[in-house]
Amino acid sequence: MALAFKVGVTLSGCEGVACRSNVPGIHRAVTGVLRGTPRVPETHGGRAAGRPSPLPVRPTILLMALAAAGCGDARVVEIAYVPGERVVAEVAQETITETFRSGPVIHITTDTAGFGDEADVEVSRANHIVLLPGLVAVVGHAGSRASLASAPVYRDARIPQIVPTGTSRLLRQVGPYTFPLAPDDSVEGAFMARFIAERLGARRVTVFYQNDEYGRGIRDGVTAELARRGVAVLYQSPVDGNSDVATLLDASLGAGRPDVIVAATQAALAGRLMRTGAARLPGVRMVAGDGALLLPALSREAGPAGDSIYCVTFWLRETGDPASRDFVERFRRLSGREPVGSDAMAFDALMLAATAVREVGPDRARVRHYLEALGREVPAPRGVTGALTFRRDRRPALVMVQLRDGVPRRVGFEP
Amino acid sequence: MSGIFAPIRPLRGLSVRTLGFALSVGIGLYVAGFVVYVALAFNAAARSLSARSADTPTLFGEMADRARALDAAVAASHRMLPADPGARVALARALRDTLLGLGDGVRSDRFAAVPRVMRVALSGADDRAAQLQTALLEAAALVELGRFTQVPARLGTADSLGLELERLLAVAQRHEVQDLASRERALAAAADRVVGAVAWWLVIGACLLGGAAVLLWRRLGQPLEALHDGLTRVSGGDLGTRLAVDRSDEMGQLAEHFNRMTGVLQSRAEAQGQFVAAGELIAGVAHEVNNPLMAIAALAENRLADARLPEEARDEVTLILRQARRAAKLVSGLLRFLRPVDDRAAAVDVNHVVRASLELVSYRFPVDEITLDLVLAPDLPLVRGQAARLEQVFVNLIANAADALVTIPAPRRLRVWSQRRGSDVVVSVEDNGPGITPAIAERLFHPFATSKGHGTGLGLYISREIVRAAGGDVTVCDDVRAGACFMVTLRAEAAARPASPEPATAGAAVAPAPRSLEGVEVLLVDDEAVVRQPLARFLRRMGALVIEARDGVEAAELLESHQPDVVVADLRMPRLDGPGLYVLIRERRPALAARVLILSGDLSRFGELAHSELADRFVAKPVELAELASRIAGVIQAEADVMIGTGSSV
Repeated sequence: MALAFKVGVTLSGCEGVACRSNVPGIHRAVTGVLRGTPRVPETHGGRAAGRPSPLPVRPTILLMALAAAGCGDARVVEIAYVPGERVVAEVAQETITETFRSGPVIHITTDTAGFGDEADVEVSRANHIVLLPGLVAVVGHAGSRASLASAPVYRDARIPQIVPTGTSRLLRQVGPYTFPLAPDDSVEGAFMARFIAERLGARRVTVFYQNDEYGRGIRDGVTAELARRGVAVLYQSPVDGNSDVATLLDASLGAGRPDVIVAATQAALAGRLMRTGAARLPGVRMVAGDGALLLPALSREAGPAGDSIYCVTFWLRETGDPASRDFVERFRRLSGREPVGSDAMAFDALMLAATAVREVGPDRARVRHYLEALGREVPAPRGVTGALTFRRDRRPALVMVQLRDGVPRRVGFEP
Repeated sequence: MSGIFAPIRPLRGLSVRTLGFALSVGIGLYVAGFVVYVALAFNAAARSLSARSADTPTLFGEMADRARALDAAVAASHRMLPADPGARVALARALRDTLLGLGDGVRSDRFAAVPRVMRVALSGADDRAAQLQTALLEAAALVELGRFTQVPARLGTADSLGLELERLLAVAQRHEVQDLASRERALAAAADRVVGAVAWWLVIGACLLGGAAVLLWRRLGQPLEALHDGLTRVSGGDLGTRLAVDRSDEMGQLAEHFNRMTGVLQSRAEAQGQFVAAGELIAGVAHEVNNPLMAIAALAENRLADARLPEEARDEVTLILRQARRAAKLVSGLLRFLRPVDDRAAAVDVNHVVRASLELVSYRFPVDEITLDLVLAPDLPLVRGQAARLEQVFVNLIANAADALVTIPAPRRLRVWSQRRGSDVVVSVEDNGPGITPAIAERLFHPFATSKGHGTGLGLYISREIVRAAGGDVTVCDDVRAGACFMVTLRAEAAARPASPEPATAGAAVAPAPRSLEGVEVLLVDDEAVVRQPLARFLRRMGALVIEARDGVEAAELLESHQPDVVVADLRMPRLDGPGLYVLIRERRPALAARVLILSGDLSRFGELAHSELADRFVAKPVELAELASRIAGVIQAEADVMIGTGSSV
């Protein structure tokens, strides 16, 4: 409600102002576009094609424009956040308003219209996002596949795109306007494999992966490192929301009993795999990628077996620096829940985009150059998840956590 | 003169150059705009056709290959259950290996380049392909696990997904065709638009071009045509031609310049006409003066030939003869200066030309108290040129120096010297006058440049043109101590011999004076008795038989009854003149024609007869009697030489 209220204030309050009246396209375009975006049914029964969706459904179309001050400021700039948890945008906007008391008025336009699993949805969304007047940067989309599908659109429009959570290594190849903030899947996969081999002492592993860029990327990263360490991969199989997980798991046992099941999937699927695996193979442990750590979906699907799941995350709220504390407090206040790694990454990405605009002005080319220069010519700003750069040698903020009573707890294992 | 050099009216309004520049820029922009328009009109449609055409079929082809492989896998999956129980597991494992070997699906970023309508179908097909792959793997897993009763349901799902995949690809293919057709239509529409625009562009361009042509014709063409007509009339001799100055642009200025030029030419032509008339008058007077001078000289010589003449009278007659010859020399110089010039270049002795020039001007020196310092190098080579024109140059330079000298108090010195300098012959004329003023120095050799207050201002200009035509130049001396100094540089003839100290006179070579003309019969024809009679007396005293005639007609009658050896005829006579008589003799007495001499005081006609067969028969009045005797002896001797050569007798 608070969000809806702010949207209403911003739009109605600015309608009569010259600076907004000459850019009515912002609102018409975004609202029109987003209203026209196919809405994803909020059931597991299936998406547009009628098949069940394994993924939690995000809130539908919402335009959020948080004006810090003065609609009449000609330097109103837009940062599109699409699609993601809207509360992250609220936290970021509040932080921006308080932190950047002068300079351009930065609006965060949020499109949380469903998960863009199909490429055409993401491309269409991106094609409309780029029409936003005053748009300087995009934060999103959610996940590797969605970000990868939309990246060429932003590249062609020369709009910097900060991808907060996408881990596909392909994101680093798609063009100079895409900046993935998370470590890529080869790094994450290697981290998981090292944990499996060193910490869990596993010698035999079965891998289930989501059949998209995210799942395949984690699969490749994990299996490559496991092979290097001499750990046997007994069985590999793609899975999706329609899969009969039990059958696949049973079939995998034909190749041998694994010490560890690797789940390169989103949360719901990982939970189902764990619950089924625990039933079939008592004592088996599961190691999942960052995509699985979506609470409470993961623990709900996994049930009691949830405590046997190890997950990778890029941030854990127990980190005690002031920035993290402030972020956690705001997040709790605005959402009523604890933030997870993807929230922190999205927050950092939004704050980084706003910082870039503040530092170099609302110019896409300069913002792109600023982002590219982070950690080189430009000092890397400190975010919630650590120093923010896009250098390949950036020290990954990888944390292995274990669910205990539905709460992720740090496992003492350094990347 | 000030009117000639008065400033032309300044440019006002749009100049022709500005107009030309504006038209050029306008035409350039029009053409460039046309090219840009065509490029832009085609660009979007052509790029759309080419850019998408490359990516979409490739993507579609890959997905179709993947769909075919999955279709084969579906077919293989249906063969599992009917197979022998022992073979089922093997088939299932083979199917699993096949499915895992299919590789990954299409990279998501490749869909961005696909048109929307196709992208929906293709991305949906990609998802169905992934689901189908998973469903078939599950079916294979069920077979491996021996759960055969669950397999048909799973295969049914796989079949449904396969059909959906096939349908989506068909949709994509249909959209691909439609999209291609729509882009082709867009390109065709763009082409139609461009063709229409080109037609309009050409029509508008033709109109604009026509307007520009009319404008140019009025601003440039018409004035140029008027200028051309004016120049044609001027070259035809109409110096009164004037152009209308009805505009204030460059063409107006050009017309104004033209009018001033023709004005100058007209005034110069009028002045030149006066000079020509004066020259003709002087030539006529000189001719009339020559005859009395001839008579005076002949009478004086006859008198001096009388040994009985008292001493005092002899001195007086000698004085008369000397003054007569002095006057004759001056007159002959004037006539030579005024006579028409032979345009052909010849080897010229520069020293001789300098002397002849000085003879014309030197009458001023005693009166103006000018001391002449003449130093002529004796061994100068000949130069190629026209003696009469070079004489004009030196007369001009010497006269200029004399004019300058009279403006200063005595002593007044004029120094003329010739020298050889390398392959050139240089004649310098230097005076100690006031020198060249800075005001005139820059345009010294320009037409109408004068500081004398009188004169045309053309002297130096024409002099330099004459010398340059001969391959030389007229310059101001580098090192002048005081006054002015001009240097005439002429190129020496490569194969020319050094000039003899005393040049030969014009006309035939003069033989030594004979002691006697004994037995020679001379027909002497002259209308003036005062000339004819002293000559006749002189010839008779030389022993010749002289027959006198008063004109050509009378001479022709006498030729009927006499056989003269030589005919000496005056050039200008009433009824029949000397050349006419010659023609008559050539017809009636061809042998005698070679022994006809023509006497004349009118040297102006030498030019017109110089190339005739009488060219070497002229004897200029006043002639010394001894020279006349030599010429008569000469023609007789020449004829005799010819007769001896041919075996004839005189």
